[in-house]
Amino acid sequence: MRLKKYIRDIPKALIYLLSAISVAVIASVFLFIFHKAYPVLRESGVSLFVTGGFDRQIQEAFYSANATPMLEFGFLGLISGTLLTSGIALLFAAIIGIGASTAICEYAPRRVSAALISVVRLLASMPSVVFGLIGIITVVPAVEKLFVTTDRQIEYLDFFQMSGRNLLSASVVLTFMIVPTVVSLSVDAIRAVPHSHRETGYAFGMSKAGVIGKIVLPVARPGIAAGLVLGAGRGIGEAIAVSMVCGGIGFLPNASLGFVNFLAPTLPLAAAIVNKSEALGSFAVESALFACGAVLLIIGAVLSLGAKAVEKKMRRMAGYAD
Amino acid sequence: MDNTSKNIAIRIKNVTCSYGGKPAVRNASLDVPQNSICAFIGPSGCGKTTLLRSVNRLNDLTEGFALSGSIEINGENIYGNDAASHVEALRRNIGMIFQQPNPLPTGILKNMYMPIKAHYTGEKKYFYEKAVEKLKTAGLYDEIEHRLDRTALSLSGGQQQRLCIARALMLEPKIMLFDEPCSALDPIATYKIEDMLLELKKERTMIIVTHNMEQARRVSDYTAFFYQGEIVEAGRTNDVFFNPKTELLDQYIRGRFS
Ligand SMILES: Nc1ncnc2c1ncn2[C@@H]1O[C@H](COP(=O)(O)OP(=O)(O)OP(=O)(O)O)[C@@H](O)[C@H]1O
Ligand SMILES: [Mg+2]
Repeated sequence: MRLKKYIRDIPKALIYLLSAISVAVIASVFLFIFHKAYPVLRESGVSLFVTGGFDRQIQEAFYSANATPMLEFGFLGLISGTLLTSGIALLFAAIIGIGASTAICEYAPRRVSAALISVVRLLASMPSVVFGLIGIITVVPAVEKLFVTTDRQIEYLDFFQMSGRNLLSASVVLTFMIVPTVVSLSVDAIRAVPHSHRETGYAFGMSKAGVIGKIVLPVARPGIAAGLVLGAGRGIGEAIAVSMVCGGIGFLPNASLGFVNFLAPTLPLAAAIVNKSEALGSFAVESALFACGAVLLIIGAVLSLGAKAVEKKMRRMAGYAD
Repeated sequence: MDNTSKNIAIRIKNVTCSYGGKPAVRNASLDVPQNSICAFIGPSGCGKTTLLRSVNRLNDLTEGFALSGSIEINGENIYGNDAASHVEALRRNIGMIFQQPNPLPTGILKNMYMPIKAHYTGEKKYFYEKAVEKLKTAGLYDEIEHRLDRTALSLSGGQQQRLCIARALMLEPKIMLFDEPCSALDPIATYKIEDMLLELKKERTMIIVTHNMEQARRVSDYTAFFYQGEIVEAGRTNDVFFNPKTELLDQYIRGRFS
């Protein structure tokens, strides 16, 4: 009897054990990152979030002696680079992604839409370095050709060295990467809208466009939003592809420059880790890069809390609240 | 039925319907007079829903559907013009209630506004007052007054169906089509809806598909009996139920088959 009871409890115990292990692993990763980042976090304090100058500081840190490390950093340029590249990319991806998934689900002939969906799913699982290569080969030259003129380069030389590797290119490459995620989740959400809801709209004399705009997309909104949140996550954490096309300098946008801000080099947090990892030997650089990781974690946490709050509010507005 | 055509709201003439070449309704003819309720009865799969959905051309959305013959509403053949705007205007003026209550997964008031906002722009206050008026007609307002901005999915099945009727009323349809509106509801919810139908009839023409013989007898003025895609018998409800002319109808009414 006793033995039977033990055997019955084994699966449950195993589940507990495995969950405990995974929680412990995640917790120790967090602890490790914050432990490594601590010297920079402690020395920089709040100014880490409100001042810039990372490009110069990281060089100083590299040459500083390990006995007297240079630990005062300002990440504002990197933070703004992260938020700008992912924000712009998310905006582009929302417009393109929702449009594309609507076209695929509602307008394309069945065969075409099936083919397009497999392509999209393939793209969603493509390694990001491939997107970076595509960016270098196509996006960077295109942006250079369209916007970067010698006159402009000279005009803004005081601010930065203008090239095809800039905020715009980074945002466009990120858009390419996010769109498949957004489309793939939106397509699922749109397809899950029951036929009866569409029929309701048609029975009220709504046109096809009306049914899509007023019924299908609103009903599919939670799924579409989930795609956007995933896309935002991917955008914030993307390192390799962005580091290949971003220009590698954390230029802080300047309101007086207007559109030209898009042509300035940028350096998001994740890309900074990749770009500067050759200098990892130095204690100060190591701590600074782990601080980048820590700030990324914080941004990710804040955004996911924000997304939850927005979702709650939207559900309440849509009448879900109970 | 009555032969005086001036009072005929819906005139179905020699209508034959098919799905992908497979016939579902054969040569059906039927007149529904103004401000009356006509019940469609008959065993499952005999074409009641198909004919009902032909009256607002909702079957046009089904791939492979084809219809011949004509359906006249107030003297005009609704199949005479295939322009999208024409079909949409037709549907806008006909209310349709489905077997499964189908509120959108959003607030009660938002559901009420949905049809009217699709066609008109207007002041929120006007929409609100109209919504309250229609919810009252549906006998729903008193029950849900304090939670109009809650989700429609929080209502019971019967309340959802009455919400759908109230929502359909927002566009002031003169014709309403009901496809087994009570088959998913309990007896009390069913009575509430039947009461409402009798009230609505005063200024509307309605067709109701039902498997419930009692219901057909209680609410309808006319009844059409379908069998294997044909209208076998049609006439005043009392005549149809108490003086069936065909053996088939007699047996169906007695519940010999369904
Ligand atoms: N979308 C469709 N595609 C193909 N065939 C259909 C479709 N809808 C209905 N049919 C067929 O048309 C015939 C009539 O169906 P209909 O739904 O009109 O019957 P009904 O009288 O409403 O039945 P019930 O009482 O079960 O609702 C049936 O043989 C059915 O299989
Ligand atoms: Mg039916």
